[in-house]
Amino acid sequence: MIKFDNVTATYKKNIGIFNISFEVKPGELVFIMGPTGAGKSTVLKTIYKDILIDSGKIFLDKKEISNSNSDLSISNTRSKIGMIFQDFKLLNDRNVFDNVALPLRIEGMSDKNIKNMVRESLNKVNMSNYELSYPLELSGGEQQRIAIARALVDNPKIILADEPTGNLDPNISDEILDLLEMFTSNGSAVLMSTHNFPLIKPRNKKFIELSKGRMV
Amino acid sequence: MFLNKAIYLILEGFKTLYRSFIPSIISSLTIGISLLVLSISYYLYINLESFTSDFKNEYKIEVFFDSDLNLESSLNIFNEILLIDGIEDGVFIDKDTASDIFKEEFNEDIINIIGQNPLPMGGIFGVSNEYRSYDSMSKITSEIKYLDGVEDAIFPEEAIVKFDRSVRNLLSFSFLIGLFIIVVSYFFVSNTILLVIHSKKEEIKVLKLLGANDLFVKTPYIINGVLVGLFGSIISLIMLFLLDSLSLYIILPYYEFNSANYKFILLFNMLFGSFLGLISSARSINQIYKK
Repeated sequence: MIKFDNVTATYKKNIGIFNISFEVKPGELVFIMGPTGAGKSTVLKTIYKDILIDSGKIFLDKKEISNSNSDLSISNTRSKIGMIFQDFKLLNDRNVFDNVALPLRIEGMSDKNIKNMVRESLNKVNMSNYELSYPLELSGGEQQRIAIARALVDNPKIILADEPTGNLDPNISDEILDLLEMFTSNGSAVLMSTHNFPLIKPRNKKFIELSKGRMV
Repeated sequence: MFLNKAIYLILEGFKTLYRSFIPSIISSLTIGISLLVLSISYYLYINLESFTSDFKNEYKIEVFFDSDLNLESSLNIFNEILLIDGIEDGVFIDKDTASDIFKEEFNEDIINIIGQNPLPMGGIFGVSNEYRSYDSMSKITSEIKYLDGVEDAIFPEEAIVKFDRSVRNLLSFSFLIGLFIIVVSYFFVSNTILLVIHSKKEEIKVLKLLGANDLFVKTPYIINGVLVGLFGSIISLIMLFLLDSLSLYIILPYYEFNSANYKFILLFNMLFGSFLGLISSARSINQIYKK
């Protein structure tokens, strides 16, 4: 589902990621581990094309997205991925329903479909009663659940989570991980970056460890 | 799919108005004030033109016939002059009328002074609108002077030269002022709209991360800019209405203003306001987008 083949992406000389190769298969949850500055977010950014790679190849769902001839534009690539961020990236002047509906609005779906899919997604993260609430009225854990509902709303095959538990306390973090793990059951591939090894250790999942931009 | 997206983006354009209420109001007010100044300039221009036209109605050519011509010959020349291109109308001055004019101007009866009326017959001729300039009037006057039986033909050369020059300068000045107002209001408005879009920088970033293309991100802000421009034009029209009503009490007793074409002002303000909002928001969104 996600494949890195000897990928190098640099910001400046010696800062970035170097010769990274790994694969995340459908239905798999893979963690990218490492301290701050190890290159975890850079790996994710190369997938959603926030950073262009210098060399190597990246495949999403068997399509190469890394070369300039790729028929997937930045917006097309991103619309195929569900993204979850440490700071949630919710729009504070829109209610929960409108936030979750955003990816579907971008796709141009009808109001009727949007209503059904948003409700279904909110139901999955146990936030059905918060449709009309605004993000700032919710706790950090609840906001992250909304962000997850938004990432899942159009059933993406690939979910990228950049330190999704970074701002949450341990209990809530565990719940968020449970949710992400649950979504792999329908075949989605989840790639999550974290620096919190104790959080992922009990889960016994595949992880990639990075240090100074290189795989350890 | 396209229709769903279009409806959503148009509605988002409207919603951005209340999501960024204060900056939108500031932008609308800026556009409103700019349009008000432009409308007042236009109003003054119209009045200047009308004043100029009233003044130019007084442009006349005075013609004196040879003093030995009889009434019939004089009338023949008078009619001949009326046929010249650029002559609009004329008043025939016979010897008695010439004497009356002399009396009116010098308060003396010429017959009492020299015992007879030596004043020649002649005519005072009005010039049609398009010939009311120094060059055209000089040309017509020369043509009249060449006619047999015409002793002299004159027009107020110096006054016309001075007046034409002043009007030309005033019109060029008002054109430059108008241009200046348009340029200043464009920068003023685009910077206030930049405020609206700047406050939405984070939202733009999130939309792009979620896979929105440029058109999806930019359209609501462009629509918002047009709406801000429309509201601005409504503000300017309300202020103009109030000013117009106020001027009835303050200025009208002293000077009767020419009423402008209100339909034109209404249409111009609506269209120019929307256009100003459109180009300002397009410039602002592109500026934010590049960052």
